[in-house]
Amino acid sequence: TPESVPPHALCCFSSCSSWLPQRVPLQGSHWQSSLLGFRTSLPVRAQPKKKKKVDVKKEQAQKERMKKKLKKLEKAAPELIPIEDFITPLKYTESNRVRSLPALSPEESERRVLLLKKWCVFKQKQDEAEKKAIKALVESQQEALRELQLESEELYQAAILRDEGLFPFEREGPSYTPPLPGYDPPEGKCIDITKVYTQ
Amino acid sequence: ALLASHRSYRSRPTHGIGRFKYLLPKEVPKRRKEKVQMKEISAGTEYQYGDINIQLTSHDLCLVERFAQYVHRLCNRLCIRVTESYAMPTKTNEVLFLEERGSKMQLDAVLTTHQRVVQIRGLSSTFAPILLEVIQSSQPEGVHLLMKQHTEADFKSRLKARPELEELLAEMS
Repeated sequence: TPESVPPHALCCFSSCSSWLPQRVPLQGSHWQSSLLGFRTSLPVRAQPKKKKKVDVKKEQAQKERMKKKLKKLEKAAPELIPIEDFITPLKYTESNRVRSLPALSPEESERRVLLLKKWCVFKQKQDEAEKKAIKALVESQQEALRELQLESEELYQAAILRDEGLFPFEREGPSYTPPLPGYDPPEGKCIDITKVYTQ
Repeated sequence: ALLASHRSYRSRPTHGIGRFKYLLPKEVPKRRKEKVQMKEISAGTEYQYGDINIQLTSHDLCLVERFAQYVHRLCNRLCIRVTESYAMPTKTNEVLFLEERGSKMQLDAVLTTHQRVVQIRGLSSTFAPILLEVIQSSQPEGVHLLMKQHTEADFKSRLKARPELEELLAEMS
């Protein structure tokens, strides 16, 4: 009868299906190395172990290669981006053309020298005015600080401290003409075509 | 040095007869390429500002260079220490505009933006507004003035980009 199961097979099944480690050595335990449950025996000289070893080695080798590459790149000092303003284009150095200037008449050269002298005097006056203005500003500031110190010491100390809100300071240059009222500019866009330098 | 030795024949009149190196022109030692290193950024005290960058930007190259020269000389005259005076890389922009009758973008102009930087250190807190006033009064048309604290990012923007190094660093971490 299929219902009747041999008793030793029953006990075998019961022992194998339990997840707790058995103190009693199981039947057929010569191929089961430890007290692990069914189907969880230790791998014994099979293909998967070799793959793991090679993988680890390969990974380590790859990491070392990357580290070496990183060291080499880091050794090279960073370079400044070359500035195009200071590099004269080749087309201006290749040709040998020389400009021939017309000869100046003595009146013309006299006029030019006198103009240069007038310009020098003008610039000198401008420079002196600037120096005078700076001096006046500094003197008035010092006088004000002296008076403040006489008034109250703590206000003077607070005035001497540096102003954190001063920087960053931005200002657009003055324009020749004011903006036109009601001017409708055409639509357009700006594309940045600066050359990107990489090391 | 000729006579200062224990060997006796160095006192003879023929000593040093074979010398000739002193007749050759002096050889200048070969200058090794200087590594670009960032200088220390000073933070400044309570009464002094640290490193400040005066950045002058404009489309006109000659004008911005002359103004940078003027600012540098002004700082020299006012005994303000100028640590560095350099040029930032030029930026080129293509300006396109939409035609009145049509949908095509037409090239209007190619504009170049030049920037010069004058870096100063140790500006006293009382003198800073005066310097600002003087520079503003002599600012020419078309030159944009910007004064700000110097940071490492400003220095890094002058260096070439290194995409390979960045890629490797990203992979490692």
